[in-house]
Amino acid sequence: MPSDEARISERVLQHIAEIGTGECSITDASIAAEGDPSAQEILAGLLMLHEDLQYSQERHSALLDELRGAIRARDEFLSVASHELRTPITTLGLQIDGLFRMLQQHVPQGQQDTLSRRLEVTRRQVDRLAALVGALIDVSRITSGRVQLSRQLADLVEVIRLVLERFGDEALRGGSALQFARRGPVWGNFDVSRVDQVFTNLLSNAIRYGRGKPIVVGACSAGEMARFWVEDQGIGIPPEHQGRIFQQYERAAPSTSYAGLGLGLWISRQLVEAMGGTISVHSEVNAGSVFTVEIPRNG
Amino acid sequence: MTGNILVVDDDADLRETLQALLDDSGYGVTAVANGKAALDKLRTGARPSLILLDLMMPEMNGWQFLERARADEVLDAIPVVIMTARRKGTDLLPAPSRDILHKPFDTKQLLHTIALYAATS
Repeated sequence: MPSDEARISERVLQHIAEIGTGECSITDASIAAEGDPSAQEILAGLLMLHEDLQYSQERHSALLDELRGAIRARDEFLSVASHELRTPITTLGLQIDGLFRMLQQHVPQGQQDTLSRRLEVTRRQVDRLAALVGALIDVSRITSGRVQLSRQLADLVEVIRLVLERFGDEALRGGSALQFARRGPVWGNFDVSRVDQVFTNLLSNAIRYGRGKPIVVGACSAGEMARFWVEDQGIGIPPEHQGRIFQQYERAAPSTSYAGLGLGLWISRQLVEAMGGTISVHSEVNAGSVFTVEIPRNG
Repeated sequence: MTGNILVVDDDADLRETLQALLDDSGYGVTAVANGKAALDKLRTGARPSLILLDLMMPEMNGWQFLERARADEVLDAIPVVIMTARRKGTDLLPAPSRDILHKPFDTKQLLHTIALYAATS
């Protein structure tokens, strides 16, 4: 049986209960509990807990501010660094163009081949560097919500044809024949450079993962939508990985065997969604993958 | 009209590269390292048919240069092609004689854009 001294009055209990609902402060309850040692003890404990909680909340919000600051600093750095890299890439590219020109003008025909091949390799590497830097810039634009589309009337078939022309050599080097199944023209209001970018990403993936096997690409109208797809007969993607390949930094293929930043499909999806469209994959391990994009024709 | 181009860029390698390339393509080229040097050159030298302008430069950057040029009737009449790594920059194009080359650009794009404003000699 508790002694009389240990019993807390109903009034003080009521105050303590009201602390929980915020109707009474711990200080007010302490004043009400003057001369009641048991209640004072409980309230002292509560005060300590309250101060701990307050400290935790302050710490939590300070950490959150710090984290937000760090993310902002990272994004700013990414943006500045990737833009900064574009100047040396420009100089390198122009120098290579100049060297090609000098080669054709000043080196005898019979000696041009080796030099020309080495310059081609250099140019390809500069192009690759430019593409990687471009991906970083896209990441910084997308994460800060700065993707802007500029649409114009264009034929999707023609956009794709130009990319195929650009990729002819690379596909050949990878041993893949390119086949274009078109039902067109497919006219619409498209952001041509973004559509080019998405298709380029899908095609270069197909060339990378479908090495030595034919690649079929296609384009057609589907009602209000324009559809294009890239089909390879490569390594394929296991069902359990198909959901995450469109996420940032995610890749289904081992990074120890295949180069890349793991950003291409994420960027593609973000761009396609910004255009009001969808991107999907159908794939079977060791049989290949089909990536399909649908975008509104009058976006 | 012979095409004299004033290249304004603080990156010495890019300046030299552009100078060699444009020189090879039949343009007369003068190159300076910032907006202030460009203004000095424009006040004393002959008027170029085109200014190829970088934006981020010490002393006087491209924006400040454009502002000064805009205030001067003679300078404002000279076409300017801005070289920038930013994708958008349309705020810099108040006049029809202003154009943008997005870095990285190649020789073909450079010569194509320049030919819109300056003839080779």
